[in-house]
Amino acid sequence: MVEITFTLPDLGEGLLEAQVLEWLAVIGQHIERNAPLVEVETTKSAVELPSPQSGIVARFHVSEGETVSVGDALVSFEVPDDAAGIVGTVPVEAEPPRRVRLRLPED
Amino acid sequence: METMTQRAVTTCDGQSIAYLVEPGENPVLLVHGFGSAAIPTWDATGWMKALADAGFGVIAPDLRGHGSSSKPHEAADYYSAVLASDLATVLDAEHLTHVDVIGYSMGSQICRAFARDAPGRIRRLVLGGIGSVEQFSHWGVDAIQAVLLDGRTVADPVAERMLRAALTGPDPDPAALVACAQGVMSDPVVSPPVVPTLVVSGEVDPVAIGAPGFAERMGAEFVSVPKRNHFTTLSSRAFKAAALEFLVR
Repeated sequence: MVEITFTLPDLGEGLLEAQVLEWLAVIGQHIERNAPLVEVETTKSAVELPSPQSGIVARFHVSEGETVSVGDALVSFEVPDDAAGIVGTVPVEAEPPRRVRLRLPED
Repeated sequence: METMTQRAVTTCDGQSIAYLVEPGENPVLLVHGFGSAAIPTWDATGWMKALADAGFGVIAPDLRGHGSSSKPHEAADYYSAVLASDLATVLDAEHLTHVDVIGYSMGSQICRAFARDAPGRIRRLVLGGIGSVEQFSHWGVDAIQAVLLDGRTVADPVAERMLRAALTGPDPDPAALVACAQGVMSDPVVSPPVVPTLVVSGEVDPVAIGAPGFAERMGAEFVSVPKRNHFTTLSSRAFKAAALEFLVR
C-alpha cells in the first residue's frame, strides 16, 4: 500500500484558506473517487469537496473547525501500489479495454 | 456531474431561462437564492450528487436576473409571481407536471409563490434558509442600492454581508439584482402552502430568524441545523438528510 496525501485545492476567486466544517468520511473507510469527502467554508461560501481518489481514508491532517491554507495537507489515503500513479497526482482512470472487430467473422 | 446538461427556454415575456438537468426518475426542482445561480448553490454544495445518489433527477434553473438567464432591469419583471411562472415554464419545457421542490433563501420565497400559484404542480416542498422576516423589505431599498450600485457600506451587518455575497455570484448584474430585490419584496406571499412542507434553517442564521414560528404558521415540519449560518446550512449533510428523508415519504 502507498499513502497519498490530498492538499486543499485552489478554490478559485483568490481564496487562500478554508475552514473544515465537517468530514464526510471516517478513518478506515474505503471511499470511492468523487464521493463526498469534506465540507469546507471559505469567506464566500461553503462547498463540498469530492474525494480525488479511491482508497482507504488513513489520516485527517486537520480537525473540524480548523482553518487550512491552499496547499496544506487535508487527508491521506492508502491505496494499492498499482493504483497510486505518481505520488501526489490523481491517477487517470484507465480506458476500458475495447476490442474492435474489423471484419465480420467468416463462416 | 458527468450526465448534467444545460438547457434554456424562452418565457412568454421573451426572457431566456437557463437550467441544468440531471436525468432521473423523480426529478426535484431546485430553486437558488439571491445573487447566486444553480451551480454554486446546488452543485458545489454537494446537493446534485446527494440527490443523484438517492435516485432523484434534478432540474435547476438560474432564476431570471442570475447566472446564464436573462437579466432585465425593471422591478416589474421580478414579481414573485413572475419568477414562479418561470419555474412552470421550465417544467413545461421538460414535460414535467408534478415534482418535488427545494428552495433556498430567496428561492424559498419563489417556491412559496409557486405553491400559491400552481399548487397542483408540487408534490412535496422543502423551504431552506427562510424565516418569519422577508429580508429585502427588512433591509430596505436604500441599503440594497447603496451596496449593490454604489459600493457603499451599510449599518446592518447582515444586509452588508448578504448583499456583498450577491455581487460575487456568477456574472452578476447589479442593476438586475436591485430590480429583483424590489420585485420580490413588492409581491410578498402570505398564504401557507397547501402541499406537504418542510422548513430547514441554521441555528445561527440571521436571515432565517423566526424560522420555528414561521414553520408552525405554515403548518410545516421544521428542522434546525445546529451551529450553522446562512451559507453553511446550505452545504450541510444535516439539511440534505432531512430533505431526502422528507422527499422519500
